[in-house]
Amino acid sequence: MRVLAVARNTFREAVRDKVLYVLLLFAAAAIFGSKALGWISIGQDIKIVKDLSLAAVSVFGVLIAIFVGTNLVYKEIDKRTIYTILCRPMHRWEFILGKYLGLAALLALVTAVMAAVAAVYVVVLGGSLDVTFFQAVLLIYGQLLLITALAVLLSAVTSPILGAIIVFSTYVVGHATSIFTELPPQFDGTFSKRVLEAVYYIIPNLSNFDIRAEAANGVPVAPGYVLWAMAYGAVYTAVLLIIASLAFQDKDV
Amino acid sequence: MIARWLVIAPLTLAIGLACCVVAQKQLDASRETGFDEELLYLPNEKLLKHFTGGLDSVVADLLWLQCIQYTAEEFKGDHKYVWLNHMTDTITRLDPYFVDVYRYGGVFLAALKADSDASVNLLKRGMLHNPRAWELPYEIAMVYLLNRKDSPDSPAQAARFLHLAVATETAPQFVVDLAANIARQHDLDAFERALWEDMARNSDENMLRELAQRKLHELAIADVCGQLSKAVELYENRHSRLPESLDDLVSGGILERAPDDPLGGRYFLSGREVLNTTLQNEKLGRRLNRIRGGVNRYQKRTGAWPPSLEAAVEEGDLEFVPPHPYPGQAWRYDPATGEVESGAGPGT
Repeated sequence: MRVLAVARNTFREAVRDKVLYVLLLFAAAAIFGSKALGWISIGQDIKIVKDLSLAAVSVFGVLIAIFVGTNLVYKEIDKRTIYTILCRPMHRWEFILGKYLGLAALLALVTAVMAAVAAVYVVVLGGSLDVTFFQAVLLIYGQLLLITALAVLLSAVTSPILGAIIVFSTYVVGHATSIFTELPPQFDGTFSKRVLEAVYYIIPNLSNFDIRAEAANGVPVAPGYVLWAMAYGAVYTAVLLIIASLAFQDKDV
Repeated sequence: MIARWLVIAPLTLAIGLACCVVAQKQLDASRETGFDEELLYLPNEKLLKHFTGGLDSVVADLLWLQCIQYTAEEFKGDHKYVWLNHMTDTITRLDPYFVDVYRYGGVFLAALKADSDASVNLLKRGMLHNPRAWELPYEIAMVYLLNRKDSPDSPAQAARFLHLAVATETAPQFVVDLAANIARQHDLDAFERALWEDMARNSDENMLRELAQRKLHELAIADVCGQLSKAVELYENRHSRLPESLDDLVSGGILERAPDDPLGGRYFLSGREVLNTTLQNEKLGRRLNRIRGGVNRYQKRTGAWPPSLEAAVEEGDLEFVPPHPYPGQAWRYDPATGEVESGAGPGT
């Protein structure tokens, strides 16, 4: 109940954040502007619109998660409003979980709105949507939940700017984790190879959540894959939230 | 105050904008580079894939648009197309499902750059990632027919790839007709037989050897059907009527005995034609798959099963309703469940 109260307030607070609307405006511009690129293709306009729309949903979702998420706990400490919350009978982990759930609800709303706008736009342009498009949106949301958990963790332990840089770097490296396994033969049997393989499993593999190429080209994706990717995201998110709660528990506010 | 806003502000804006345009043009002219210089710095596709931040398919789209412009520039210019292979390779590695890049890239490489090897390689790579795209084997067939027509095995290769295009069960009717014409003209059966014989002898995989054996039996059965149809014609000439069954051919002295089907099917008469249940069942399975695919596409698109198979055709989800391979039989379709069944044929 206390968790839900914090989540509700976080949601209300985040909805009033102007950054959210600026980013949504850019996302809408990217989605509607994608048709212009289609004009110079050879009949691939719908594919390009789908690609850019899904990329906009993903990129602007991540930006919202970073900008809002890395400020979430830090702002409460900085403005000292946290004292009014923590003096109540509430565990610190409940505060972290509530903050996370509030932002997760906001991202669900934002993702649904952007995906609905993209879907309607594709249909209006004469394209068709299949189930892979919606699977791609679901996995984008799974990715946003993981990124948000990392942003909340960093918000509890560091400053918003440093947190934003770390989350953004993780987002970029998380899409390039295969670089740690596709090593040249000189690495075979070396200690470095084992270390890099360990890094491969430690860094969140965000390419697991990327089926946008399949969605844009209408290539079916097995429901089992989507379930495994969501399960991977759920476990990773849970671990990050537990670490965030532990870190915040010991934090001197 | 108002005059200041109405006159000075727009004037400042216009002059400022004009100055910016002039300055930008100067900068553009001094930094102008050709496509070749730009593409020199196009990174290795593997490296590029790691640093797109998950935007592989968007980067592929942007590179494809640049590739179209590059091809148009080269077409108007010196026709070298030096970077075309690298661009198409990069794009298709970033987005391996981008069928149009394989297709048009293959056409550009074969028709404009006259590099039919690169074209066929690109299209074959596309087939590995997109086995249901009829366009890719079709374009390979066109490369063999149009760009490699001097090569002696080109017609047979074209026939083979058209056969593969038809086997995707997504090819439009003109491709099916073209495949049949080319096969007739260039004796595809002989080519196909050699292909399966080679596989039956040399394949390491037990499953592939068994498949090749079955295909060889099917070719032999098709040959027997052709011979039996000629025997029916002979019977009609002699007796001025059609035989009622294949036994009439034996009793009429045209055949010594009715042939056996090594795959367990049987031969039967359909007017002047002799058909075989093994071959017809094979067609039945493929056609059912094709119809079910169209029905499922309709359902996926509209959320409801089509009221009839013709409705799926009208909506463009099914190109046409293929005829039932057994004479006198029709497909059974249930619009409540979307299930398509075969009416019982002689061998079903």
